[in-house]
Amino acid sequence: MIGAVPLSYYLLLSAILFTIGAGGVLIRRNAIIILMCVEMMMNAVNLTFVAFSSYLDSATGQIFVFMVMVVAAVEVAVGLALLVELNRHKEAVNIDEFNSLKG
Amino acid sequence: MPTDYIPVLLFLGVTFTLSVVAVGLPHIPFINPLRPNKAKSEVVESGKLAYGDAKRKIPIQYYTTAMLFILFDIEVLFFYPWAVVFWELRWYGIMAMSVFTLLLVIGFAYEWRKGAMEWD
Amino acid sequence: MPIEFPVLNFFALSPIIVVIVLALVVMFMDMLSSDKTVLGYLTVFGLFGALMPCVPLLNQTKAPTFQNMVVSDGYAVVFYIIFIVTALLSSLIALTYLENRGMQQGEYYILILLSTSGMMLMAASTDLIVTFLGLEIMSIALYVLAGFNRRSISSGEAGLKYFLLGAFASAFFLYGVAFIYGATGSTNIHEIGGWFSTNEIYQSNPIALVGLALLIIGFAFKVAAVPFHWWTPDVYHGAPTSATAFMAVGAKAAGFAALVRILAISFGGVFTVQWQIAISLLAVITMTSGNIAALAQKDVKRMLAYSSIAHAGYLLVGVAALPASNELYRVQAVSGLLFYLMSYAFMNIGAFAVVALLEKQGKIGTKLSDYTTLSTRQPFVAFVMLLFMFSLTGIPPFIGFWGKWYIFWAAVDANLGWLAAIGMINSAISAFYYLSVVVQMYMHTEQADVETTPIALPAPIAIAVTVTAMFTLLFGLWPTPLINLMSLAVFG
Repeated sequence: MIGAVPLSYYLLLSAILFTIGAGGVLIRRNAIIILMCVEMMMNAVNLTFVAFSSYLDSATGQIFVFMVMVVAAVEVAVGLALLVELNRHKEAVNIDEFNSLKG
Repeated sequence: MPTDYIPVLLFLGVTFTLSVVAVGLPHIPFINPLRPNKAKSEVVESGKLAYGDAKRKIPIQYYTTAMLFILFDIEVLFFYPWAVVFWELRWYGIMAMSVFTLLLVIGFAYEWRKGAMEWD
Repeated sequence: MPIEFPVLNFFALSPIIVVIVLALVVMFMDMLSSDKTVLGYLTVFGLFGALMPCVPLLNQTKAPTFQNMVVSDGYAVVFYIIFIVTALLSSLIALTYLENRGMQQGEYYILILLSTSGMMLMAASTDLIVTFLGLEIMSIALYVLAGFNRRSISSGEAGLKYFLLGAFASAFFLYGVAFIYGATGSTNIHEIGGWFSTNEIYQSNPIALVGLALLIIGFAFKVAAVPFHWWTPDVYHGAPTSATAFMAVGAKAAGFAALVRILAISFGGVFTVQWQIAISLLAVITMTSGNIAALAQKDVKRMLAYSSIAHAGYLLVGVAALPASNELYRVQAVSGLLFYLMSYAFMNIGAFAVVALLEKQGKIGTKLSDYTTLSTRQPFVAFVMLLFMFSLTGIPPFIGFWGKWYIFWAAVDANLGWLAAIGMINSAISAFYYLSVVVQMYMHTEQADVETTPIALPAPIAIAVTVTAMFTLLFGLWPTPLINLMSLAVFG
């Protein structure tokens, strides 16, 4: 069943997901939503890896996906921690309100 | 082949029809004569009376717990593949995973000691 | 199905292992002791220990190990030395800087060590999986370091900005790796290079080209190249100064370490024209806009942040010189790059050490105007700052001059004379803002309303400042031993 879907469909889907994620990072102003967009980009990459891995019949891509998942989780943890820290100074999640640095 | 997806399409069609029927039926006066009263229009939440707004803010400390959960949740990712080939890897795998677990335990002890587990 | 167990050469990776074990030891000590200054000294001495195995490793021929995931060649070992020296000097700065602000905490040193181990892994990796992991180990620790000052909202903002844009950049890098993997079926950089040379019909494969472009974008973010530099001034300005010194040098060197290895080995034979043009253009706009933006700065820390963008531009000139016509020129380009990074480590960390030292002593901040009359209040510090500023400009006989000399020569040898010329014009522009610091320190002594209390010079930061100043001057007068060391940096 799954092998019947051409590789290009997967690549197209992941490209669309990646673009939506990248667009979200650039457009949205809520730090948590930006974080979610970055996660979306990472998962688009995971899809590409898995699609290529199945197409090339090589396991490397799948191993890479493991690593990406772990790193993505760690990034979420650290990102949320930084946001919580910042929240103690200022009740906001909107990145436009974090503007103490200018020069 | 696209023909492989006919069952999916059928399934989607059935789902759509059923949901339209289920949502639409109560709006036909013949089947459902509307006689509203106070108790009837209240929100049902397992016998408890509803209070406050649905869009409540979650305390920010919750994130700390969520964070710690993520870390220990994702570590299992590495244990599963090991479990699959546990017998083939023998002591080699056990040694490698011991080092991995040791590092995790040190991190765990550190966060415990630093008071990350304390909920105030 | 029997599984063959690989024999692992742990010695080849011993500097990395020492750094990681040191981080764990510091973690343990942090749990047990309440005196956090000890942890700083432990870090400093432990890093000397990590430097020890580098000596025998330098004389060893290449040793690919961990199933070709990493290699211990001269290139990697020279980078180990750069990273360890960077970590050492910035820990010394941190000892004083954190103490003065009452934020002496064990986490700081643990994060520095973990970040260093990630950088070292990036320099040693011959597989894109390991490069990615190294990149993330380094970056994630740096995000936290940038937001380390919990009392300052600027520091928190710096951390968050660095994090959001860093993660964004990582996604680009990953997408690039995914495409390269799809095109060649491997993530090992030697196998990728080998695949292109055996399958010549695929040498114009658009998927691989897109992958390479995304990969370069990812690295451009990490080394703060224009137009992917927006985060740099804010992050470098908001982060604790000791952390800024570390990330300005370390993260940049690590980014270049991995980028150069990937470009030289995987893409040494394919798409050379394309990436050479891309890197050259990046170099030109990075140098020029970094320098021009730095001219307008009134804050020394922010000025150094923009100057670090400009230095990324000079380094990109060296990368653009990699596809030279013969092997000798290629080796020259690589060793020139390494020399520049080493010299940058000394002079830039030195300059940040001075900024860290002066910050919040009495009424001094990081403003340029706060440096007025420094030559009378603290002649030694003013003098070493003068050395660093001259060296960063590239005035002989300081180490910065030789760094630029080798890189621009490599560019000329690679028929990129125009790029070298733009680089030299930019060095001339940079003289304006570097020398304005010197002018502030030495010339404006007659103003009445400035503070005249002497400035304290605690021991750890004094050592850092003295050592960096000594090396800046010493290797400036006699660069031969350093360039000899850099010429050992050949790929395995």
